[in-house]
Amino acid sequence: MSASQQMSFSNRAFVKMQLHAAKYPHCAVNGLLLACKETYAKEKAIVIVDTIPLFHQCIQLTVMLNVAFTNVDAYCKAYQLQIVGYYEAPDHLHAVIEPSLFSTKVADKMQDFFEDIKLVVIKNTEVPALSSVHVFDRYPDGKYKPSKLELEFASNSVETVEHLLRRKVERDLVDFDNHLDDISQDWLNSNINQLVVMD
Amino acid sequence: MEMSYDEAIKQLREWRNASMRKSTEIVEIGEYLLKKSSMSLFNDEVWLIFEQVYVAALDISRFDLADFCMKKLKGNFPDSVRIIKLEAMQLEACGEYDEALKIYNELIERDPTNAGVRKRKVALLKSKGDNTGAIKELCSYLHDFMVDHEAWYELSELYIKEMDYAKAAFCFEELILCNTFNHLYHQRYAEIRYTMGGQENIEIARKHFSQAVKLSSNTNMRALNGLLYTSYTMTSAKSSSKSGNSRSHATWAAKMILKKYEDADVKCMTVRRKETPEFLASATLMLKHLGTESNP
Repeated sequence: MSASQQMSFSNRAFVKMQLHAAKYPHCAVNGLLLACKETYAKEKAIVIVDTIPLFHQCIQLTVMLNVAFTNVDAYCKAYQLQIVGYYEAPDHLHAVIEPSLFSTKVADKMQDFFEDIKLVVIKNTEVPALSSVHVFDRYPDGKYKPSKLELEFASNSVETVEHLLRRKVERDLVDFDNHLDDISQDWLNSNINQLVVMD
Repeated sequence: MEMSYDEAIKQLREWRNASMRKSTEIVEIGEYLLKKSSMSLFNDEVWLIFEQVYVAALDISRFDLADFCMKKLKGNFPDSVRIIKLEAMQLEACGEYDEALKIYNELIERDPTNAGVRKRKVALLKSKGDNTGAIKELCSYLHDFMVDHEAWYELSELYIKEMDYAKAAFCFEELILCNTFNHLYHQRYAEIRYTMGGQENIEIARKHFSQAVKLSSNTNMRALNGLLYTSYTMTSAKSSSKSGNSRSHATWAAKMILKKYEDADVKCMTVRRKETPEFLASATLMLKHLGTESNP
């Protein structure tokens, strides 16, 4: 059951999620969804403007997730954004498309900070099509069910992802795991953001 | 290809020794090397390279290249069990798990000491999405091959996926016993303990994070962050001496993290760091809470 009326993904947000899944086809990956604070406050519309790729190793461990949350939250406060959701691409190619137990626990904790947390599960066999994005809402009984919201995407999102995949840009994507291995790497991926035209 | 012949061999060797799954890159380099260079240039290492490129080719569905490698391998090792195992991997790559499993079971019956095939069976079960089956098979393997670090590590990853943290911690206890100086083992063990939660587990986590920091000469960022978070949590401990010690540990960890970011020399990061301290968020925030000023 969603408090929001609409949900859309910017080009940048969609592309980075797809590139993250493409960079680690053999791992489960996860990340955060960032939306514009003002748009939600005024119009109750969730506009996902960016995604932050987080981990591709042992995603069910919580320490580094806490560190990532703190850092991403500070970034959001500085740029009038807020964390509105969590995405996960399962490691198994033909995984059942439903939020994993761990992701529901994460989303339950995130509920304290944003009332309408969205869980996104990526369907691996559909990457990089728009149909790979499956959104789940939290219902009052605590369960996560497929969202009834219609999702909007930028018109050239799939084209952009395919173009970047042909150029092997996913190799340059930096997630939080890469950043922790080498802190000079930028988890905001400004270089990839520049390659993608914001809608 | 920009690499020289020697550089290419060296790179493939590095990836092979570290068991890195860089299949696209291995195929790129390996295909050029194996098809363009004369066989007389190679020593016996070429067979390891053929095997490595074969597996990488299967991983990215380059069945043409896989067939090319298999032909060469079979030509040189006609009666090899290792080759039969590689051929079964091609069945796996095509999704024919039951046929591959039949072959692995036959090979295991023929020779139960063949570790490679037994581990391949675990990988097959994992590919089918049968984590429980993979765990059962791996446990049975570890009864016989107790010192296989790779297997203990894989088992712990499977347990973490199933959120069975206590069993995952047990696997890392075995790894730490065999290899006390590996800072990565201490760090991962500490992460598992932290995830389990509770006062006692946080204390154990803090000890292992601090050991990881020490063993890595303060370079393991995960361990530094872990030390910061666990010590910070323990500042609200009931015992005042524990709380006081934790305060100083947390402060030290926070300052060390800030110093690491200062030293990391990247232009865009430096500019952004001056405008907003969001990259140093956890360390800066916690220093503020601890009542210590950080250096600007």
